[in-house]
Amino acid sequence: MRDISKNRAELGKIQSDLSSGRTVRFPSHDPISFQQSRVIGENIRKEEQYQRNISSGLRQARMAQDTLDKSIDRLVEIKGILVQGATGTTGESVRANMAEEIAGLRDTLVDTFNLSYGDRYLFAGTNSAVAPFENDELAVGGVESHSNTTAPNILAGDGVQVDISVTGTELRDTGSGDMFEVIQQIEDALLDDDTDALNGLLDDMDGLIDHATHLTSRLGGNINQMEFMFERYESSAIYQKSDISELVDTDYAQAFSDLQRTQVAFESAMAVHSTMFGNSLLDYL
Amino acid sequence: MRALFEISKSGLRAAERSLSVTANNVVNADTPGYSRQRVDKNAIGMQMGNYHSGLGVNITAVNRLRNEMNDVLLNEKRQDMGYLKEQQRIFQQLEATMASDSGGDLDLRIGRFFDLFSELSSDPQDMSVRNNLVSEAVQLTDKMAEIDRSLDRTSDLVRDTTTKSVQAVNELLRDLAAINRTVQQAEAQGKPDHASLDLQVKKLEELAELVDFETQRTENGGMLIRVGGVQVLDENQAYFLKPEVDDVEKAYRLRLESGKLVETTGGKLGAGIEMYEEQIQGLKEKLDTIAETMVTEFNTLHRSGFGLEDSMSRDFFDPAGDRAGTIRVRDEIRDSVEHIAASSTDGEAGNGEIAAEIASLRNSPLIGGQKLIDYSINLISEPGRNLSDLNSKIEARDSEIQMLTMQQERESGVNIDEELSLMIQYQNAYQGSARVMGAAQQMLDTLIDLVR
Repeated sequence: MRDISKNRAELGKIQSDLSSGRTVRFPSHDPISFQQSRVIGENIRKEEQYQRNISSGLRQARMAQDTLDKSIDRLVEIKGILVQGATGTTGESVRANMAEEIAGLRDTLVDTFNLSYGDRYLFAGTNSAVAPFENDELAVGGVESHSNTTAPNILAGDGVQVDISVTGTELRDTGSGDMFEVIQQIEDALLDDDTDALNGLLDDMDGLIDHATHLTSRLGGNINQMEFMFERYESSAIYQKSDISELVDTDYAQAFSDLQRTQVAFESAMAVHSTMFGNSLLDYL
Repeated sequence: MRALFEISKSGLRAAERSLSVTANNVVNADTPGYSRQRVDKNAIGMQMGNYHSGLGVNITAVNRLRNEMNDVLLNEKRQDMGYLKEQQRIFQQLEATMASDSGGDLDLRIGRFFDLFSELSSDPQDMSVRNNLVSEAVQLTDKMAEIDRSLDRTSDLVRDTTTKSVQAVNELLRDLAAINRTVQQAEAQGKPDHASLDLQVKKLEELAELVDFETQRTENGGMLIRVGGVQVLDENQAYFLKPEVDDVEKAYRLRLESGKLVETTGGKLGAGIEMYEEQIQGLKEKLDTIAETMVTEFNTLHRSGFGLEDSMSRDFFDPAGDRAGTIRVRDEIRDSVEHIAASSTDGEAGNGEIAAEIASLRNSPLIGGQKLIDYSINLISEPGRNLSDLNSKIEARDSEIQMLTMQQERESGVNIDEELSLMIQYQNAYQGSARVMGAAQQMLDTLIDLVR
């Protein structure tokens, strides 16, 4: 009788293993596997969060990179105008027009750099609730800066923070001096018809473009790093999930063969039991 | 000639008496505690001149077949089993409280909470992240309070069941005292009361599941019982146990009317007391450790940071509630999520340094060298770990009991086939005796006919 109820309990366990697809559903089924699976599960969740952080970081970094690319185009335009203006044959009125054009381009640059993602100004450093640049006659280069020197970053891994943009301060501070100051000098020189000064500014202008290109490629490096980490989490999740599956999921082949074996034992126990009880001296009296 | 009638008469009587014992055995085959009885017979005879003449059969005793040593062993195992089964029952409840197969357990809640700090550090200006963070924190504190409440409830239930067990023990002691009296009276008259002795066996079995005890049989058939070395049943009366519960200190003591302390560590009663005093409290303390660690660690970092609106430093959790039942997100933070301090510098909206530091608490060994989540996984698996131990112990104990019961069955149990074959024997013996009596009658008739 005891064997029959034991068999029945075992059949019940196999049945729920099969129907739920998991052998370890509660700690008591196998405490060690349960704990290990939960620890791995926690790690997967943590990495999935890092992946979400990276996705959001990548969107912002790509926007910032795109903006930097556009700003390089603007700087190249400015350089084009500068080269034209530095040529002695250009007339005074043309230079005045050019100066106006440059002022317009500077305003465009300011607008471009005031790019925001949601509530966050991408080039303002961590002071990102405020637009990083503002036109202000009195400020250096006619542009006031609100950015600080800490680039916004995301948490991409345990103790790993990756910058997703460059700060406005960094952006301005080129090897050839302040970006907007150089642009203003060009504007002034055009207004003054000062070709010597214009020629002198050519190198500085190249410096500005180099600086922006350098920052773009540095940001590109960060983007690559984030993409790489994302991929790594993706593949590590696959391994970890299969680890969990090995710990807690039902091995169907095993379960089916167990089912068959237990069923045979169950049926024979019942058969023996009923035969034994059927045989009694009572029948012969 | 008379002897012939006497001999056959004793045969008829012996066969009838034997058959009635067999009949009693058959009908009591599945009565719990019943022990098989057997008739002991003696041939009677006397020396007649120089030969010995048989004078029939005499029933000397009706014996009750039972191995008392085996009973003592069995009761020890039963007491062990009662202890294990009660613990198993309670740990099953606790396991269901702490861990589910759907996975929405404490470890997941803490993990999600850290996730949102991780997200906040990457996007400190996003209000939806802040809102999610607060609602996740509320869910986490609710979860802790819920587990804490369930543990309290289980603790109360265990206390009540234990008290019920004490009452059951007292009732059994009362019954055993009454049995003691009948058994002793019957013994004094020289006629052992088999029915009461069987009942005594049954009551002792029931008592064994509840509490650990020692028995001793006196010369006049009385049964003495000690629990934890204290006499609770003597030849004349039972001494009842009285529970004494301290709900605050979680202490459960048993005393006799006389005030004597009775310590029991076995049976259902012992298990209940141990669960009430230690195990459930242990789980509660661990849960409180998690709550306390979170309040301290989170608040310390949170106070060093700044929210979006002002330069006030604030606690994240209400510092007044540092236990699982009282942990709570501060109202100020609940009401305005801008006050969550993600930034390490005042006025920097895009600074997520503090949130990143809080998120990295996830990897720090905060409690006894263990990470917060590992500790909580350990905690939610604890009842299951004990349960799995208990299950294998119970299985082993079960087969031991099975073996001893089979031995006892062999000795005291009624084998219907054996009884039926005895029945045929007795029937034949009865017929034989009747035949002898008939033959004697014929012989007597022949003699009387001669005279006529």
